[in-house]
Amino acid sequence: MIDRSEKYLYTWRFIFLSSILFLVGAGLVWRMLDLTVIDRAFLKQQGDARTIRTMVLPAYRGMITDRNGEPLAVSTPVDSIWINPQDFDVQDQDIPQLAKLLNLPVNSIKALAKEQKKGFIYLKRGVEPALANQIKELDISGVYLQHEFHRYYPEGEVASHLIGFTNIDDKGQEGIELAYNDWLQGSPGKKRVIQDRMGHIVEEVAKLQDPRPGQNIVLSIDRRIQYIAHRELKKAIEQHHAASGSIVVLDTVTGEVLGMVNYPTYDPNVRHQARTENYRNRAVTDVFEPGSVMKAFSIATALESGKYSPNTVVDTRPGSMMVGDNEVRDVHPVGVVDLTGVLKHSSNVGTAKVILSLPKTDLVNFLHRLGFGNLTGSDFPGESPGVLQTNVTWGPFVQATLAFGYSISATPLQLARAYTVFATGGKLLPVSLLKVNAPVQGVPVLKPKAAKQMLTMLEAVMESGGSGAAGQMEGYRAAGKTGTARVATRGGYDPHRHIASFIGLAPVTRPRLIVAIVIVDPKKSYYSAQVAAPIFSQVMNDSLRILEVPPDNVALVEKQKEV
Amino acid sequence: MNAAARVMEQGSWFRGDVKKVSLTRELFAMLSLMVLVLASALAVVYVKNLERQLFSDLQSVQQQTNRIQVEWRQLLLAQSTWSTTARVQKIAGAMGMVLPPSNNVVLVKS
Repeated sequence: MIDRSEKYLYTWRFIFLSSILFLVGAGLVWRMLDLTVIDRAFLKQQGDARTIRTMVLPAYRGMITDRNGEPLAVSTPVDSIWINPQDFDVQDQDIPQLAKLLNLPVNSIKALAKEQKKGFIYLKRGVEPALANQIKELDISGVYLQHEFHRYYPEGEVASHLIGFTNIDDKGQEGIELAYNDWLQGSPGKKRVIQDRMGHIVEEVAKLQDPRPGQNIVLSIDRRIQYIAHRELKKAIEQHHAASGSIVVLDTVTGEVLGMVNYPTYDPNVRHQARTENYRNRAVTDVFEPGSVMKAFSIATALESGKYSPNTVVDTRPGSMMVGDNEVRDVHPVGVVDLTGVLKHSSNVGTAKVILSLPKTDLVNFLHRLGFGNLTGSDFPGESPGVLQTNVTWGPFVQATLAFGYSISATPLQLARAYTVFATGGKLLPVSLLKVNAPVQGVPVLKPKAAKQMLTMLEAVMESGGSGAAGQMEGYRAAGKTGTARVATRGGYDPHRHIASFIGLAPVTRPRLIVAIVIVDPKKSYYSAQVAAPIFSQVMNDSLRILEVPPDNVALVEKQKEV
Repeated sequence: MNAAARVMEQGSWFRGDVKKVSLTRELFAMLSLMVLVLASALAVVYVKNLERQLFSDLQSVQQQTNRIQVEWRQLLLAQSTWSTTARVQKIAGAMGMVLPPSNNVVLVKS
């Protein structure tokens, strides 16, 4: 028999054990509720914070290449080393090794680390990836890497004005880099990933943004021609102790700029030494009064009018004439010559006489049609439109000075472009700094007959006895015009400073290139015939050879037959 | 659960009387479903593992792409720097190479 008290004891025990079991169960259920329902959001967030990372997918800035695909500007990844002074351990035994790798004195690193208020200090920017990896392996606390891009310009100072450069944040600052920044620039992408404890990526959760790499740009220039122009310009400027200069090489079939150089120049790879004024692409941004090279357009105006032919006789005696209250003079009087002779000997009096005999607006309208006073459409940042006054309220003297290239200012590129009318039978071509694949349609601005006559007359300029004789080449027939102008200063012209220029085209039988040369302030000799014309023959000859244009000089070809 | 409970109540297996077990249609369906569930569970494990492996392969291939791209750009730069016209000219000069003068040039008409 079971005792009453025993029975009571059993019942009590049963209740006690049941309650404990119930409490344990309830506790577990509560904990489950607590974790999965009440704290769910917090815990999930904490979990994600430990595993989910947003990664940046880098995007390259586009390349700039020349017309043959040779790279002119390329971005490659580099690392910047930075420290957080608050985490940085000055006593770390690897610090001398770090200093050695970065080529920095140990003391300066320690001094930087003492700036406890800051949380971010660059130790060195633009470090090569291999070197950066060695630094990463040192594993010094408080030293971090930041991935960046550095832009290299293999051609250095040869193409720097045209291409420009980017700043340390990879944004275009000058030249093509600036003009086409949006096109070149990529935008980095982002993706969300799950990382394990070791930092390995276990899973890609979502791609937040696709990286969009920058687009490449193919320029119209040929790096070989660019180099030749640079070499000759540099040589000439050093030889004549000139202040500055520019050369533009234009393709007369497509209107592309094959070469565009300036001096003084700078190396975009080591820019901290450069002076800001050397950044200017003078061929496009600087205007000057061109002087005699403009006479070609005056003579073309005369031919266009129908009142003149290349053989029309002009009396330039006695080598000077009064226009209103001012005198127009020839440096070397040329006497009675035909229109070709006026151009060949570059007579101011002859040109002024011819233009004054024509309606007042003829020349200025022609110059306007040639694009003077307007942007060329090269889209180069900072391009100057030059100055051409088209309201004809001026007197005959201004008209006369316009005839021989004063009272107007233009850029070297504008002048080179205007000369395309003589190469294309009267059509003005649009210029382009980017490669042109389709043939271009020029705008007719001069009668084909006048353009053809002009080409013959401009060739005469380069015959012996003409002002451009020094620009002659052995293998190719060339046509061109010299110009020597005084530098305009406040209140008149500086008698001691000159601008020598030469614009020519070749080969005459089938024009392919225009070369325009401008040399500012040559000290030794200032006549274009001695300064600019010899550069023309060098640049033109070498460029035509590079483009594999067959020689058209009959004399040479005849001579070869005899051999 | 109910089906399983009923099997445990009524089935001969759980009463230790194995010989009496007869393969009824329900039992067969249930057993095959169990096998299928097990197989599918193992397949999930296998596929997940495969995914991890493939993803890690993808990662390393992507890293390789990046490395190769970096190298390509550096080689491109090197090539372009070594072949600048200025350098070619200098070396040509050092080797005594010159442009043939025009009297040594013969034009071949095609």
